[in-house]
Amino acid sequence: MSQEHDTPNGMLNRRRFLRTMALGTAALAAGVLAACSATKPTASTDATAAPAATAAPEATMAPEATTAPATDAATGEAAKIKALMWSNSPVLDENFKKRADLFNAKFKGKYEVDMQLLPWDQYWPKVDLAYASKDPIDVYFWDVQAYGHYKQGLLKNLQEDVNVAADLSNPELYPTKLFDVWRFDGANLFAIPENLQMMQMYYNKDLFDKAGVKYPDASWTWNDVLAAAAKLKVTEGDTVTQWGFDIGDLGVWWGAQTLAWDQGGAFFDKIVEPTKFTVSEEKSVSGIKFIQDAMYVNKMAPDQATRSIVGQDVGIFASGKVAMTPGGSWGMSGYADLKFKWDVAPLPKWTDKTVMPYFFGGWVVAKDGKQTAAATAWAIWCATEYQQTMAETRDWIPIRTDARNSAAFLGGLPAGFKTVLDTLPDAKLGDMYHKAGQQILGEVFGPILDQFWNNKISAADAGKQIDEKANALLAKG
Amino acid sequence: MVQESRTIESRRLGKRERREAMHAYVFMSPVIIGLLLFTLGPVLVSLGLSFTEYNLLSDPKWIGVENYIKMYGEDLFWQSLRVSAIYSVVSVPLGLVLALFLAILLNQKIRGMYVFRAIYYLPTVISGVGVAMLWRWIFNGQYGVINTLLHNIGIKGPNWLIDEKWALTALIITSIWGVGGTMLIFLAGLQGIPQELMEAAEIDGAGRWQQFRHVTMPLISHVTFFNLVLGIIGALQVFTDAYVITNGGPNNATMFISVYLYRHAFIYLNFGYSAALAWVLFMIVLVLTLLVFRSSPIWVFYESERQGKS
Repeated sequence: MSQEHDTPNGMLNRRRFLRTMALGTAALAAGVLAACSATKPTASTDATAAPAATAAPEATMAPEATTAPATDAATGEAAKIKALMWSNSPVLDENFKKRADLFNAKFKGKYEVDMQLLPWDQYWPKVDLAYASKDPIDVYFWDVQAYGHYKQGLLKNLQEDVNVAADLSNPELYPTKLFDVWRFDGANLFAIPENLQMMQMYYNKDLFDKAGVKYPDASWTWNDVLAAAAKLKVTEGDTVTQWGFDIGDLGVWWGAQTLAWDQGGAFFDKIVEPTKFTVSEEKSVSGIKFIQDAMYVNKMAPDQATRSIVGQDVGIFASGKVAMTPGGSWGMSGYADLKFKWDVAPLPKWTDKTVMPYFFGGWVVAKDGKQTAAATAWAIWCATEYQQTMAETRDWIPIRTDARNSAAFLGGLPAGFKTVLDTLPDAKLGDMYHKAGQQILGEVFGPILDQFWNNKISAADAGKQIDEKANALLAKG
Repeated sequence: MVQESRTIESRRLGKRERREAMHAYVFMSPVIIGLLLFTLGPVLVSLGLSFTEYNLLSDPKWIGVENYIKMYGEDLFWQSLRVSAIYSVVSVPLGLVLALFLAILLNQKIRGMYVFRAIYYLPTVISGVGVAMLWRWIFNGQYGVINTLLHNIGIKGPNWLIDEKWALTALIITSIWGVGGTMLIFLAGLQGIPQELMEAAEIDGAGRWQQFRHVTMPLISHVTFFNLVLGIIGALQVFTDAYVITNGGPNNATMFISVYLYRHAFIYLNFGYSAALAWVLFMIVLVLTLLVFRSSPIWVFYESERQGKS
């Protein structure tokens, strides 16, 4: 006989208890789920559909007075917003907090931003989960993942706000031509750029001086790089103790693509919503072959295995064992304390021109955020009034031209950086915006380039395989 | 009168039992609510999601078994299964043998044995990510401890984490780090073996190996069974090492199914497909566990059976 039959009449038995608990929990769960889904998303739920904002731009109103009241109407207190950025380094993170303090002081009683910083691997899950719980982060820092949010119609169309803040549309004050690629629908900005990053050639002046080799400059071609690397390479017996060149960020797809750009080619037909990958075309193949040859044919750069060994502790350029390497401008802050002298130069040309990749840093505003006016005000303030402070901290390269060219900014950077900035008008955005973009990079470019950089397959084969697989993923939609 | 007194006593007992039962259930309720809300609930939701296209940003769209069909045609899915299978087939027996060997060593009666036991168990309590970072250094092609040791005996070590032929081997070696937990359970099992049985075997003329083979192994078979089940489940779900040390590379050589699943969920936002992968993984673990359970009457010996037979 089971225990429940022995239980005196009326006593709380196990089965009854569990049944009650299950029902209670189910009711609680249903309540929670109902609460979670109470706010139906206004965005299109069809991932393939054009974002709502594309078809019908939002009403044209000033950022501080349109989408939400300037202060919290219910309490009369300052409108509070959450701003999210990923963590970079203690110094940069601290400066973001200080930036928030400046904003809060400026808009005291009106807006109040709570600046939160998360490790990169937690950043996008946090943003995505906030959307899923219908409580989006008010304003957060852009990266390609946010393009997926645009595609879902979750981002606020910021064009009218940019129009109101007239400076941002002034080509005298901002490189407005570069903004065009961020007009995903061809007309409107859905993110407000606040800083730039670009790619450049880092070189170790001490090693150049020691070898008596002339420093790289804007006139150099990639063949000049190889010629100089031969003079800078030092060997002891069979072991190379100093390399003249390292492929650096040419080993990343957007870095490798610059060599195709220089020749008038590209890895795909357009940056926003590419329809065809073209890595197997001659200009792309010759570009990536140059990089592979530098490691395995000319042997002027360490191969992949050696790179991982040389660079594991402090990074390959910082190791002091490499004379020059192409890399992102974001690397400069980390090189401030290097024990050797270094400088930067523009990326070399293929034959007659160089096309530098650039990247925007900026803010996007959640369309269904509770305080879109305050969030927009933060984004615009960062891109306008804060620019000179950004120049002084030199954390980021200001988007505003006068701040970027100011003595306060350039004075603390390597002398050659100005020549890098001079190539900006011809630069191209080094991103790819597509719903399947992350999967194409992770499942196609990643493993195929793994084999290619390890010299397991030829440039032509790598190009062919990438095109076949990436185009197949594009075709799936 | 006697009957009446018994009835009153029974009623009193009922009240007390009722109160005690209520207390018991109140104390149990947080766990039960937690289990229903945070385990059973998500498990059932994930089953539902596996039949949808869901990217977290918009409502799930019912697509039936399309995710499961898609999986069948994905090369990377099969590669991830292959990687997880090879890892499990090698690391589980390796871990069990090593753990048992260490447990036997640490079961000796010598001075300071508690210190040795603590030393061997210590790695198990260190954070997974920290350990993974440490192993990245250990496997460094030039400065790493392993290649330095190999170099000292005249062997040129491979580039463990760069070479796709060696990356999975490196992760299998890494799995040995957590052997302390299994070792501890074996040690408990060894200490539960009645000493008189070993003495009887010795009197009967059994040597060390025969004692181990015919007394020790059968008497710890239930512990081996427990460790085997946990080992299979753990090996098929391994994530941290693969994610931190190699992130699935090079060329997908360490693309464990858990890493593949994670990528689809949190990088590509294919939560529906990812949920389907999780369910396939769950079914594989379930089938293997059931197989081990079904095989247990053949090789697992329980003390209660011995008592029943005698």
